[in-house]
Amino acid sequence: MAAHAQSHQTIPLNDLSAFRTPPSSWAIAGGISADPGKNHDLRTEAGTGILANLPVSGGADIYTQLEHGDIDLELEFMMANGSNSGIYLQGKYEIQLLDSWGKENVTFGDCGGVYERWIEEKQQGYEGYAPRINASRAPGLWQKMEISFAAPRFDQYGRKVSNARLLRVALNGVTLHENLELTGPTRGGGSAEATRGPLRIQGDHGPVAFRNIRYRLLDNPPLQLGELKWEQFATTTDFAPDLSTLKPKASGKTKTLTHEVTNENSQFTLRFTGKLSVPAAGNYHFDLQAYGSGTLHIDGKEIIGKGWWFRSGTANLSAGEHQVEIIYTKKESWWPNGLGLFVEGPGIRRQALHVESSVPLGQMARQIFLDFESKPVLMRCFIDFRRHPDSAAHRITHAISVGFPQRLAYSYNLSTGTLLQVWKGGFLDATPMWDDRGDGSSQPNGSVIPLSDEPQLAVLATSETPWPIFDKENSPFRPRGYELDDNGQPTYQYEAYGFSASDKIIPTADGRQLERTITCKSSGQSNLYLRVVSGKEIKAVSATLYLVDGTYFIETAAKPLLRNSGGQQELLLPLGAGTSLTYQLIW
Amino acid sequence: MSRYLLYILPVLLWNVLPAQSQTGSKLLPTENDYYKIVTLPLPEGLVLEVGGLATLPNGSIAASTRRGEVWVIENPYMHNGQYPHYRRFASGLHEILGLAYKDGALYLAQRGELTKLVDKDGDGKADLYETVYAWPLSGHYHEYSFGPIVAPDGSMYVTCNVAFGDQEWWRGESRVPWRGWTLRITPDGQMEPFATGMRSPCGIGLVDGELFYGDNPG
Repeated sequence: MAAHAQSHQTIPLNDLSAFRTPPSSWAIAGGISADPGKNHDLRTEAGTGILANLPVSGGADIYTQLEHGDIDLELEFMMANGSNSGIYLQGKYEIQLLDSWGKENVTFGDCGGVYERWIEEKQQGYEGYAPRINASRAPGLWQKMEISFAAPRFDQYGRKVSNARLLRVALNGVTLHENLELTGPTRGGGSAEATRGPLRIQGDHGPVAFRNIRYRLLDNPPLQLGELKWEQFATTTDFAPDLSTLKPKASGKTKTLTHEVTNENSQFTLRFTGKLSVPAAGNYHFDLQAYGSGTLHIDGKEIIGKGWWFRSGTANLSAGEHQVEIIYTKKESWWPNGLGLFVEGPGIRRQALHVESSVPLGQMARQIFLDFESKPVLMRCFIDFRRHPDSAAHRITHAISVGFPQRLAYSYNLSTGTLLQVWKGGFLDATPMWDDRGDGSSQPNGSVIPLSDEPQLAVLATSETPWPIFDKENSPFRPRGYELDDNGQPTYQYEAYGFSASDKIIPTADGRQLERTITCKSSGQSNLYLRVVSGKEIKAVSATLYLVDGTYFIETAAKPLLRNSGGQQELLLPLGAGTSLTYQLIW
Repeated sequence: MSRYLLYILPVLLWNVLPAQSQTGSKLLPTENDYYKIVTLPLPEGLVLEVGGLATLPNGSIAASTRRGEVWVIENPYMHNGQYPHYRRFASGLHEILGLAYKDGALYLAQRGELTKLVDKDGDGKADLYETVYAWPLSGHYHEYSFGPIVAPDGSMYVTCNVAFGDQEWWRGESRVPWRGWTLRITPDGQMEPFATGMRSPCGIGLVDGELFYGDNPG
């Protein structure tokens, strides 16, 4: 969500006071961990910030004090191995939570599915919706769910006039559903629908934990444009000239904001004036989409100044009516007419103030996807790497991405031998590279775990020496390419610091995780180290299993050194000449 | 905006050029009068955005594509009226714009390196993708690389487009070393900068020991 959006509120998890008479299986905890291989394993540590359901037997659902209508909800959750839970919006419409880790085919009953409705007499389910892809992570890892929900609407007699809708559901950053209409409550959600209801979390099917439960209530009525008048001027410039000196060529009234008031497709300026009704005072963020150039003024004040195409501006508006002026200029004929104006503000979702036909949807590129195949698929392309989902992207120019038949994928920096990121779901979206002239880049088409873009091999004087800062201009690495084995799996070759290494990353036999083996074939150096991972917090879960920032596991029998260095934690392994190191990534 | 302007330019050229050759066709012979132009039939679904061609000693043709594949086309001349046969020799490469055959291997320029492809196990597909020499890129879309051209001494020439857009949308910029250069690369992977001042130096060729290129424009 953009920085200008109204900030989220948080359900406090210092105690259980945010919940109605909480059942005994629910508790507040400070830390939590689970062995992904042990059925229903979930262990808590004292403290606050985590809501945990730890049923000894049975267990029951928990309801928030909060009641909601339209809502944007996001939360993090952790499944125990083999466990099952769910989030019921308004207590009635369930998004399923399940340990669906590694499943190839997912249904409405899997994690992120919209659970089915139910006919009791026939004992028959219907209208369940499977997630688009399986974006689930392993038990014992924090996962993120984002839900945008629109409540059903009722007329003055209490008759339903529009269904509840899931505007968007995303799991671990991947959209699973969009604009789904729900004709009624899902199974176990009762029958009566209402404008408001509490959040309900299922607690009778096994251990589960939650944290960072954040929401925005979006119940304010929408903004409205009214009393709209338009004038059309014959203009020959890229931007509108001073219109006060010009006579309009045509003019009229319109009920909706649209460029369709004119049949011209070049050399015109449209000026719209009217009233904007604002339900509540606050900061409103406007996005103007002018296919050409345009401006937005409110009460005579410039909100979006003269410029090309898509631009934004913010206005602090009081409740009530405001004078609005929108100017759209188009000089050339060889692109389509288009005029859109969106607004987002306190208690309202981003809404269009124009009609949909005013923006040329048909101009979107035909998408080009690369899917997993029966053999590994390799693709070299620019990769825009993000250390965190919200951080700025950094373009890796010599990257290769590999997708395996087991539906696992990774990206690798050939310049430095760095494992950049791993993901599951789909393989690559090559549209940015291959549509039209393209920009040389592709994007992972799944739920990404970013790892690192720094070299993972270095020579250290001692095991205390900080990891060196990489000097790209004087890189010690020399890539030698890769060779495919009989199954089409690549082994990378490179040289650095007087050694020659090979590097192979393949799925494990069960197809649920990746295993990496680095071999140092020859070396003129001692004190060569592999930095397996770095992170804010690395926790030993067992003798061979490490949890990194709560988002993935590293498993290795090689007894790595866990150290604090430069404000972070690192797992290091010495790599001697003629030896190999192996570790697994589990997520 | 600049994106729209950029692709209007080729459109304008296409509009102009066929018109000229049509009016000229009554007065002047066309290429087709000397070299008959035949479009090879493609299997449905195959996208061949060809950026490099090489003839192979056995009469086949190898073609490299922007989608990162190398295809070997057997019976390209369709003798006996038979279809040509397409075999995917390599895939997953970065917008290949050039292809050459030398001593049993195919060489090609990806955006960021000169690559050697070898079929080691003899199954008709490359299994060794060797990096002969990698050069830096800033990641701008216009940083295409072309070649290689094989010289009689076994060394190879590649050319490197500039990026543009920081100052003016059309102004070329060499943001990292060797963009706008022609590079000479020896078979053992040593690089020697050869010439500079290029913008978009595609269409390179060697005639009597001299290297030519066609820049855009001219």
